[in-house]
Amino acid sequence: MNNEPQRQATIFLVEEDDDTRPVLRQNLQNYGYRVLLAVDEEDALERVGGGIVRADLFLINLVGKTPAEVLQIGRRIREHGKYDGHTPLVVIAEKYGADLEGTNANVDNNDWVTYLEEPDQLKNLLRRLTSELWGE
Amino acid sequence: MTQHTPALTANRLLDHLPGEELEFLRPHMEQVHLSHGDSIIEPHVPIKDCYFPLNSLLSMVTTMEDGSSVECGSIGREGMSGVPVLLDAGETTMPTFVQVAGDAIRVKAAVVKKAYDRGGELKKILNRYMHTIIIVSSQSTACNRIHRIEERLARWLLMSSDGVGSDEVNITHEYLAIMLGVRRAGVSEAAAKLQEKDLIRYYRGNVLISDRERLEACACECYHVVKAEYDRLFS
Repeated sequence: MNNEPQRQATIFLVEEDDDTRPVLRQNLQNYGYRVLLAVDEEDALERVGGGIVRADLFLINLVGKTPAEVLQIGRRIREHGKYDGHTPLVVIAEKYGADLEGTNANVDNNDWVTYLEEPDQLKNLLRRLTSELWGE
Repeated sequence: MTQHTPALTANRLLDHLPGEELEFLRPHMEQVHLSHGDSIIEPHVPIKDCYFPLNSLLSMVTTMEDGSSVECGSIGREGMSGVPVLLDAGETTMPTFVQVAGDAIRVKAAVVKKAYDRGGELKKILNRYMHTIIIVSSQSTACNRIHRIEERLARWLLMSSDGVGSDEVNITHEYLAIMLGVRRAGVSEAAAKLQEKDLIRYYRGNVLISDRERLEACACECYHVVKAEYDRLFS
């Protein structure tokens, strides 16, 4: 089975947690993505400022915030980088009940909240979203 | 469905007891089924019973004021709950609850304490067991500070698998995150990495160790240090 996306998409990853960051980045690279990394909101705003960084998808995981709050931060980062609202934004939820486990919620246009449970869940969602970018 | 009932000797401590000392305890033993989440020890509440897991797994956790918790030790078929009673402490600050459902032998804490105070082999075995608790606790503290999350996850799964005597461990991501003191996304990604390597198979609430040898190679040194100490003292 080929796990690699057909083209190399670039993911802008904002990951605050020092434990999670290395393994998440490595997994994304193993799935075939190019990864641009920011460690928090401030770092992300600085990196995307001026529209120099080009990413195909934003993936955000912040500590101690609700998915709604992280969505707002993600949209702010995306706008600051002069992206339109079609660039997918995926928020990894932190705390949730059993009813949401394993689900992905399309909250608005291309904005998603993923409630992780299965190990392949994030990989499958990202593959789907990046494939849709190219109409595959 | 026929349910396999494990023998009381599935518990390593009981298995090591000489016949006479086992007979002293036997009239006081009660085999019970423990369900996930059952409370075994409440903080600052006198401990009335000791549990010797047969194929269940208990977790001792430390809870902070903000509600966050981290596992500071687990008790499987290699051990027993209620050690503070043996040490004349009577109670403890750390709650203990059932992490993996299964069977255990329950004995009144006062009876275990009486048997312990008689000396003999039981006291030696339990003293050695208490030594291993210190080793596990020390090793876990260093491990959580230094090792990568996927190494820690591999260690936890192997220790839990040993504790329940099965390659299959029933646990959700949510509880794995509590056990390892990490965020849920970290557990998901560490599990994804181990699954990509075909070391485990995770399906809602269950982890199956599919390649134990390679998972051991992937685990940090802490698993091997602790296992070697158990084997030295109890083989």
